[in-house]
Amino acid sequence: MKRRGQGVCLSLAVLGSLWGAPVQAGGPLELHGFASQGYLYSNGNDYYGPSRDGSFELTELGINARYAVTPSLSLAAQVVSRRAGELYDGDPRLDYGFVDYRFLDGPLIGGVRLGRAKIPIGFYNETRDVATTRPGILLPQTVYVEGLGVRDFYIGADGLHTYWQWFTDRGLFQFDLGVAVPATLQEETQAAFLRTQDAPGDLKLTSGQNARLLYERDGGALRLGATYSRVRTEYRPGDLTSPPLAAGETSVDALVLSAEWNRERLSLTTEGVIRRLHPKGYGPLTGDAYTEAGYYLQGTYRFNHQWEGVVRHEQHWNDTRDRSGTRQSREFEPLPRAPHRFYQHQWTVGAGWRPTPQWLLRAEWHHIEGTALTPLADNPQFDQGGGQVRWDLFALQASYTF
Amino acid sequence: MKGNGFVFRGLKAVARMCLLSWILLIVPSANADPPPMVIAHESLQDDVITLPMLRAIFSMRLHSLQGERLTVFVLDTRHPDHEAFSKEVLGVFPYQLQNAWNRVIYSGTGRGPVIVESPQEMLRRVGQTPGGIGYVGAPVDHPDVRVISMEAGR
Repeated sequence: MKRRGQGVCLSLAVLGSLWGAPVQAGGPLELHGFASQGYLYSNGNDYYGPSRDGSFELTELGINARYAVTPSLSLAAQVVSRRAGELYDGDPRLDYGFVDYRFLDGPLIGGVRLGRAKIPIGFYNETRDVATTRPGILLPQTVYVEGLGVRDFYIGADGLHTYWQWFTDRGLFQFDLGVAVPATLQEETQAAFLRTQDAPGDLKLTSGQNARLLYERDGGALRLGATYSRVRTEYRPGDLTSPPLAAGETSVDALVLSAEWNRERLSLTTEGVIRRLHPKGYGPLTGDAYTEAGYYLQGTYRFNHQWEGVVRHEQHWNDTRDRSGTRQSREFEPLPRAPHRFYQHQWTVGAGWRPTPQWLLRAEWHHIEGTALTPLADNPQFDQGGGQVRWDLFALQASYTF
Repeated sequence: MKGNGFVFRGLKAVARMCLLSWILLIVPSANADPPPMVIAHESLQDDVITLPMLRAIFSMRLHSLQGERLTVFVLDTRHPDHEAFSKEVLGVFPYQLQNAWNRVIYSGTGRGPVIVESPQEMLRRVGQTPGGIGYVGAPVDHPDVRVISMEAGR
């Protein structure tokens, strides 16, 4: 707890000290940042802290700088502190930090980024921790996974990233390709990935690639995207004689398809994901590949410049061959998990108010069936077969960006 | 019966209020003014630009033009000239531009535009900044600023 507090304080101090920094608008150095605070209240299960009693454990802070060395060479970095219940403790981390070299700038753009960069997955992943860029307080978790332990890769991969953009009369074509270097994943990612809080040893990313193709017609009236990501991880339990979990490796291959239609008042967005996971090892029980899948449909209506409403329906299955979760729940005998741990469907209704371009206040209500995308870390009772299948989550969030 | 008449009068009043707020909030205001013009610092050589390139510039995707680092100036997103420029010249809605800026600003892949207070400041800043580009609602006469026209056949 103490470390958490220090982390947030440090970020605040950094934010505060840079606040008044003399940066001339339009000069080579540019600074931006964001801060948001959420409140969650739920029944049945917890989400981001003890939300059944009301939780303020959703805080996102970030500050970034971008320096243009020459018109074609830039340096960019962002530090983010994210507190999200028991999942993320608010310790500041380098969200991205890279050298950006653009060798082509014109009707065809081409460039490379070397370092840690955000992985473009679907429409929202690159700015997933920035509240104002999301369509609601919580992103659709089936596509923008949090509990699944590849989030490290999803939130920022160290490696080489290339990008191409082509502006034509028929629309914009954009292609991004990222290749990550091997890395040891964070402790919290490891816990989420191995689905247990106390496995010793290291979880390593041995290989990761991501490719996204994006098409925008008429300046974005229609946006279509396809993302393929391939992640390989390896778990070594260390030197223990009888570790609770044996060594293993997992491959995760995901395809995300995205479509969006934008009018002045109305935006309709849909994204779907098929994610194939193949764990090998980890002891005698695991072995078969399985396919996770999910999608969401979302409508946003802008009443005027300040007010908007959003409605979303989302479905997710941990294994498309066992949509009810009954077979998967029995695999945990003699301590079966509840079947609702293996799917999650939900309706979301929300409203947003932007009194100024910097401020955004949001409220949303989720009616949820299932807990597959609900953090285990906030709900240890899930491991004892507990948890509620039908539940509601109410959230408020204030966010400021500059 | 008298009571009913009262109720219906009340309902009519509510309906009128709804219609009024619909007109005020939903129906876009008719704009008879000509669309704003694109202006640039005289360091930018071309007088003509294509719509896809203009969109690339104002969505902050393009960083330089003819080797010159671009600095994009815009008015506050609530300013009527910004809305007119966005919708009538670029053919996109202001919220789409704002989303595009947020994407580049918070992923580190680009810069945000410089937001100026008034059309006068826009003219002054574009004139002072090599590689500067912006827009104005009224015809301009400024020694360091050139008007850029859109290439036909968009």
